[in-house]
This record gives sequence, C-alpha cells and structure tokens, in this order.
Amino acid sequence: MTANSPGVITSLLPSEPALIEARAVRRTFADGRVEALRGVDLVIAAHECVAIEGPSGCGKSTLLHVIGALDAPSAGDVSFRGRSLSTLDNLPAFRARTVGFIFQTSHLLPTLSALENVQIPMFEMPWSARERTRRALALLDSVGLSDRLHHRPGQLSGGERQRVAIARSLANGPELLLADEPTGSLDSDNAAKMLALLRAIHADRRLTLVMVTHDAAVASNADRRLHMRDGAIVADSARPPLLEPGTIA
Amino acid sequence: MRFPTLVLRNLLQRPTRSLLTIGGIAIGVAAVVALTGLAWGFESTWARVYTARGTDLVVIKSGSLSPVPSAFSRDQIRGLETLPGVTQVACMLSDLTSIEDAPVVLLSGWERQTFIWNHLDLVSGRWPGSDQEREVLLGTVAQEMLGKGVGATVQIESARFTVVGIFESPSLAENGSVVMTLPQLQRVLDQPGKINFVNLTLAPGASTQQIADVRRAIVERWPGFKVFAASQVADQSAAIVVAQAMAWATSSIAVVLGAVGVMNTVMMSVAERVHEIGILLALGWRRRRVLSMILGESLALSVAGGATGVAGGSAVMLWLQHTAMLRGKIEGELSLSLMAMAFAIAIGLGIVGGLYPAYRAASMRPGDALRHV
Repeated sequence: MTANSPGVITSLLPSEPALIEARAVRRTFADGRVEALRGVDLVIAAHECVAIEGPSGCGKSTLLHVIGALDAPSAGDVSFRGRSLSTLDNLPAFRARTVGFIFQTSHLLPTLSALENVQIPMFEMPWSARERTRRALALLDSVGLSDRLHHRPGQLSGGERQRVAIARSLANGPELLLADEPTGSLDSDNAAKMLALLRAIHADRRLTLVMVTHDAAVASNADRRLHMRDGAIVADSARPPLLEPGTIA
Repeated sequence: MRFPTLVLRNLLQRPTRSLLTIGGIAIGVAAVVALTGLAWGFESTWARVYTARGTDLVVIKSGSLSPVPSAFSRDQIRGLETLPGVTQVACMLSDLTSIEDAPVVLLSGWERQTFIWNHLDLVSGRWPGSDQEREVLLGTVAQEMLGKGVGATVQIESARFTVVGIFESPSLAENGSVVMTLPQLQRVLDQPGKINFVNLTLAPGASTQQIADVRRAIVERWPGFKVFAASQVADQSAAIVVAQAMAWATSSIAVVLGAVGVMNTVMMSVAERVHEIGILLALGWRRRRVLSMILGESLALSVAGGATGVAGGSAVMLWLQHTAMLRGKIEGELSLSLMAMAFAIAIGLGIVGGLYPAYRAASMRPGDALRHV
C-alpha cells in the first residue's frame, strides 16, 4: 500500500494473468490544484468483469480514461500486459485495436446511420469499405439491430443508440471493453437489457470488461467491485479490506 | 462507408453555414475570374487593334502617363519614312470621348491613303471623300451604341458629322470606335498638326536584328519618343497597367476575405465539435486522420466555392462586357488558364483556411476533449 492510498491495494486473482496494472497513479488538473486520482494501485486480470463504483467526482471516470490511454497519469504508471503505456509509440493504434469504449451517452455521429457509425473505428484497420460494411452488419445483428441499419441516431431510442455504441466499441475486436456509466442515460428496463447484453458479450468474446457506475445495482452485475472515494480505491470485493473496520468511512 | 462520405456528412450537418462559406469563397473566386478576365481581355483587345492594322512598330511620345499618349507635332518625326527598313508610315490621333448617349467612345483620326485603312471591311456606305468633309465611319458596335446608320448625323464635341459608312474590323475595340480623317479630328480636338501614334510597317520577313536596329535608330534620332512592337503597345498603356493593378488589388482583397471566411467556418466547426473529435480520438483515430477529416471539409467547401465562383465569375464577366460602359472596348478573356488559376486559388483558400483549425483539432488530447462540454 502506498502512503497516499487510504484504501486497499487491489490485486489480480491468482489464476489469471495481469492485463492491466496501475501503480501509484496520480492525476491532477488545474495545475495540480485538483487531485482526481491519489496514488491508485490496481491490477485487473484478463477476462475479468469489473465494476468501479463510487459517488460523482470520486475519480472513477478519470481512472477509466487513464486505463484506456485517453489520459496520461501525472505520476505513476499504467501497464498493459506488462508493458507500460508510456512506452508505447502509437497510443492511437493501441486504443483502436485493443480497447473499446462505451460512453454514458452514446456519442454517435448524428449525420451517420447506425451502420456507418459502427464503421468509424474501422477506418484505422486495413479493411476495405466492403469488409467494413460486412463486419458492421454482423455487429449490429449481434446486438439485435439488423432492422435499424440505416436509421440515424435521432431516429433511434436511447436503448437502441447505446446498443449501436456497443457494436461500435466491438468494431475492431478489442481485448478490453471500458464502459463509462453505460446505463446512466437509460430507464431501468433498458438498463437491465444493456447490462445483460454487456455480460453476454463479456462471456461470448472472453474480453475484459471494466465499467464505471455510481449505481450499486449496476455494479452488482460485475464479478468484482471496486469502490472509489476521493481519488482512491477504498474497497475491492476480490479481497478483504486490509484496514481495520471504520477506518475507510 | 468511405472516408469522403464522412467528410461530406459533416458539412451537411451545418448546411446553412456550409452554404454561406461556399458563397463567400465563390464571391472571391468570381471576383478573380471576372476582374482578371476583363483585365486580360482589356490588354488583348487593345493589342489586337495594332496587330489587326498590320502595324509592326508603334511610335509614341515617352513620359506619357495618361490613358491616351500625349499628342505631338507631326513635324517632330519628319523623316521617319526614310529610315532604312521602314516601308510605310501612317500617323493618327486618338482620344477617348463621350459622344451623344455613348459614355466613352474611341475616336480616331487617320491619315488618308495609308495602310491602316486596309484592314477595315466596309459593311455599308462609303469611305470618307476628302480631308475637308465632316464625315465619319462607325464601327459596327459603335453603330449599335449610337443607334445611327449611314446618312445620319452625329454630334462630336462642337461639330456635327455625317455618318458615311459602317465598317467591321477584326478588333473589337475598333468596332466600337468612330473613325474620321486625321485633319478632321485635329480640328475637332483643336490640335492642328498634332498626332499621338505613328504606325510603321517594316519590310516583310524583317529579322529580329533588323527590327532592333530600326527601333534603336528611331530612339537615337528622335529622343523623347518610345518605340514598341505592335503586340507590346498594350503592355505600355497606363490605362491597362492601372486596370490590371486594380483587378489584382480587388481580387487579392476578395481572396483574403475568402480565406478568412473558410478559416472562421472551420474554426467554429472544430470549436463546436471538440467533444466529437474527442470521441474519434478515443475510438483510436490517429491525429493524421482527424487532420485529414477537418482539412477535407475545408477543401470540399473550397472545391464547391471554386466551381461556383468560376461559373459565376464567367457569367458576370460576360454580362459586364455587354454593359454600355464596356461594350465595344473590352472583350473579356475567359481562358482555361484563368479558370485553372481561379480554381487553384480556391484550393489554396481551402488549405490555408483549414490547416490551422485542422492542426488544432488533431492536437487535442482525447481525455481533455472528452471532458469538454
């Protein structure tokens, strides 16, 4: 445990190889006046389904961005399969080929159809337009939207838009799926369907799923739950707390 | 979906702004086409006046800055016809003046019995009878502008002339002119014995060296005069030089405004789409691809604006040359090279206007862009 980590050091399950490893990760904003992450240590194994939960502003989205190489830590290090992200020459290629992102709101491009939106990440792959279309059709079919291919985001329901976003996140066959409040903009019925779909994808594709949520009910769908507060992980369901009861609160 | 489809869809997302930008570029390009086409046409129209006459060399007084060269006494260049290599000499006096309802007309007085009459084709009527008669010939365009036919009278300055013939010339500028004998125009302009152009022909097949020798001989013997090849006279005209300078200046301003318009549009587009660009970066787009997308949008606007501008500018130029002010004086030059130049300017506008916003977009950090609301 680091001196600045008020909670627990989380570690991978003994049987699984480490996919992501964060060591003493700090992230500050506004010239250091705001400390979003305060020395986070975290290990996530391949094929895990992890929920990072906590109140708004606790740093969980920032942690997700750092894990997904969208943001660089101000201090500390994040590695993927043992290689530090800071040493990667081509972070866009890492994001394109290894990571899939799902955001709270779908963030689909409004002028493109569902079929075209799913193809956006595929521009970074050496695929022809025909191949891109073929793959996008298969992905939309897998999320149950084969009858909405040519609908634009404005013509789709909130649940359908999120399913398009899921299909887009899978476009390049990622190993790691990062979901930032994936049910945050959905009603409870659609949220339940979304979670079921994410679990099915996790199982079928054997990828690693990390989702951020402020909702304990959503987090309960994950195999492993990490609780964050004030920029630090304070509880990990994978292992018992190291601190005495009462010191976390 | 192909990449250009995405670029076009982005532009269609804000149709009004895209159309306004295309309009701004089109105006700039149209200004280049119309003004440059008229300036080039101005030059070639007047160059054709001399070449149509069969003139090899033109002698004018040096130091003249007015659109029409200064007049000088015929006696000042006496002996010109005896220079070795010179075969014919034809003196003339020209001026630009307003005649009746026509705003500006080229008025020329030519020495009778000289070669410069030979290229005219008499459409109707006859040639002027003598130096003493108040008679004029009208070019076909001048006839239309003045609405006069053979037998009609026309008021020039304080004198009334009879139209005795209508002629057609290979030169548009001459077709818009009024021609009379030299002594008659000298009387009308109150410049007895004065001329302002001397047309020379040289022996057929004269070599470049022989032409240069004649030019040097004239300048040495008659200091204060300039000699030009007929095709170069237009380049020496103060009016043409000023017209070209004005066309260049006006076009440049239009082009700069076009570039600012493109940059403004693309900058605003980037500023409004920071989050969207963050998404694209998060999805793994390389910076070069983001740069290509924004620059592609800028170029697409420029191509559309360039095409519209070339078409619009051509139409405006064709319309302008038929207005009362320009008819018979300028025949716009709408060449492929002018269109290519204008289109290249449009593409340049796209690159210049789009490069900085594209660089800004491509330089964003995905995490920062995603936090942007």
